[in-house]
Amino acid sequence: MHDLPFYLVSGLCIGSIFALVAVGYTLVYGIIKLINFAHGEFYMVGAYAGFGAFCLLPPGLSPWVAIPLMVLAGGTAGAAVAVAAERVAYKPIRRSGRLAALLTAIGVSFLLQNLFAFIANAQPLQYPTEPAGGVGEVCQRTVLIGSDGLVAVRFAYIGLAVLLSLGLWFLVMRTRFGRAMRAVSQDADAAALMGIDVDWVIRRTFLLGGFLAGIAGTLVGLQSVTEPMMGFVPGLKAFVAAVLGGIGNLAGAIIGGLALGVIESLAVWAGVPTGYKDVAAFIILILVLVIRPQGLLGRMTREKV
Amino acid sequence: MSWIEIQPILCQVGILAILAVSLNVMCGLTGLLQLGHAGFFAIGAYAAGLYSIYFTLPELGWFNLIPAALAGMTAAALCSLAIGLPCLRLVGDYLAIATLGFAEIVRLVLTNVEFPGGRMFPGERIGGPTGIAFTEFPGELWKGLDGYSAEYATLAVIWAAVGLTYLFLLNVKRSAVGRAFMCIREDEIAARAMGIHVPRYKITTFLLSASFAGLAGALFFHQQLMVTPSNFSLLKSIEVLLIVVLGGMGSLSGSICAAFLLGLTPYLLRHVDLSGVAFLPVAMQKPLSEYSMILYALLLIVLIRLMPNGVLAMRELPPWLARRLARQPGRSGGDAA
Repeated sequence: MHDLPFYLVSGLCIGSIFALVAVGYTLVYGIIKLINFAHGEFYMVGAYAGFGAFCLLPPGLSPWVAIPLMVLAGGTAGAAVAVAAERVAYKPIRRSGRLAALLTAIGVSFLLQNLFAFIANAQPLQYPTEPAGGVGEVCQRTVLIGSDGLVAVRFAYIGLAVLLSLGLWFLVMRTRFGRAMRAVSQDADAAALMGIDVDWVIRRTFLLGGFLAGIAGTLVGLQSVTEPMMGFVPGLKAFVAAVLGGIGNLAGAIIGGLALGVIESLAVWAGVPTGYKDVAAFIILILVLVIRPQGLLGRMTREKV
Repeated sequence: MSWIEIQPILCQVGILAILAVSLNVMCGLTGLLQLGHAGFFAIGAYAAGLYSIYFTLPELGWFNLIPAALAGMTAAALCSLAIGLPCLRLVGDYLAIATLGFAEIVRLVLTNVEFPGGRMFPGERIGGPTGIAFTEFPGELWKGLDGYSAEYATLAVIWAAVGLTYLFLLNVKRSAVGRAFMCIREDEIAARAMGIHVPRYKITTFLLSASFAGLAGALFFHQQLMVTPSNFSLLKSIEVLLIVVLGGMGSLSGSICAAFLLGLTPYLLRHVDLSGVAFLPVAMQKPLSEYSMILYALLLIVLIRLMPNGVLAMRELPPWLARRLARQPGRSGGDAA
């Protein structure tokens, strides 16, 4: 058994990943009211792209240069896939109702999973731990917290999550694009009348969400494995996090993600068998939906006749 | 394909058909989007399976199926109350996500929980990731059916259940209850204004949908003679939802037709081989069944884009046939919503 501080820190680390993915869910939901089931797959594609970049980079490159490049590659790939999915699958059915959109998102998610399972033969990829000082080995190094070792790369999760959410806040609150985004999420038709190119805003939103998910995927791939189904469970949990914080609410997604990570971690600390750890997330989901469907930070909207 | 090969496939199609018809009552008629049908299916399969493992009386032969199926249906219906009552307020995507969460909880719990072995496995624990199985007399159970071989009997029982489910739910659709469901789907507030007790009908639709999913689970266990929690992943819920959408939201006979279409496709694909096709890259020269999941996903995306209301939409079978089946003489034109 580990100590409480260990669980808190590791919960924050994994919560940062949930937060990065949840932000994408919440942005897309805020703008086109679509639960983008394929979002977890953007994360998976990011992890594969990060691995691909690792294979392409010269083997002798210092990890301090290589890892940022890989993370960037992962983010770019996630963004590219997100924009492509929006263009090919979501845009044509935008006026066909919520059910059609939800089912299409499920279809895109399955397509990406199976496409990668087909291409990569479903073999989990792992960064080689040889040679010492290479990317794989550096990412397995641990830091002591109390008496327990925690993989050092996980601290980068927290750092990057803080950095990216500050950047995101600036983007949404202080730029023209952010203002357009907020306008579209309030009322897309009125925004279009004010001269905002709604399609452009939606495309940019998918790009942003996919970029963050891709980064998260690469980071997780660094110290874990990369495989076609890796996005499914984190995707669902990030969605839980987005609902927990109030879907459509940016700060809510980040807080929800961190809270979910810590709650899960504390559940294990409190003696919940690890097999039931994932149950906790779904129980939270149902409780939040039943008790406070607008989430922790969300506002209630009444449906008018 | 020989008969021995086709028989289990037809059984699977029948089970998928029951699942799809029952999901259609909830999604198509009442308009409540549900992504947790696999959860009710799992509960039915486990309840019926455990009933059979604990209480089967060999001298009763295939009649054992009836209490087992009832056990499955009851358990699924009770669980649908447990999830349905708290979720009455939820609509649209939120309900879909809550039911998805419920199904995942069911699957995770079934993966972790262990049951006592009962008479069939004295002193052992069953369940967990390997699931539960029925080993005492595989096949024997079915042979009581008037000397037919076990394969025929399984098929006959499953398709009889499909027929009964279809007729029952079709009559529900045409009754006042069904019209109330459709009214809620079209406009909940208007339904309330017309004096429809919305929560009561929502619970009814939950109960109906879940109990027939439980029946499908009971049949699934007794056809496979074993189930594992991995049979009941989100993939299953989505497969069933895809059938419902393909057959048309609200069209029960459409669901059965679509179950045939989607249930048979993977087996037909198995017989198509791309390995001789010269212009493809070597890596792609595989039997088409290797692509089946990719094709499945593409099918889902393309179908929804081309036909957002499904192939049959709200229509049922030709009116004369449907009328005869539902014993409603004197009505014309089927039921156009």
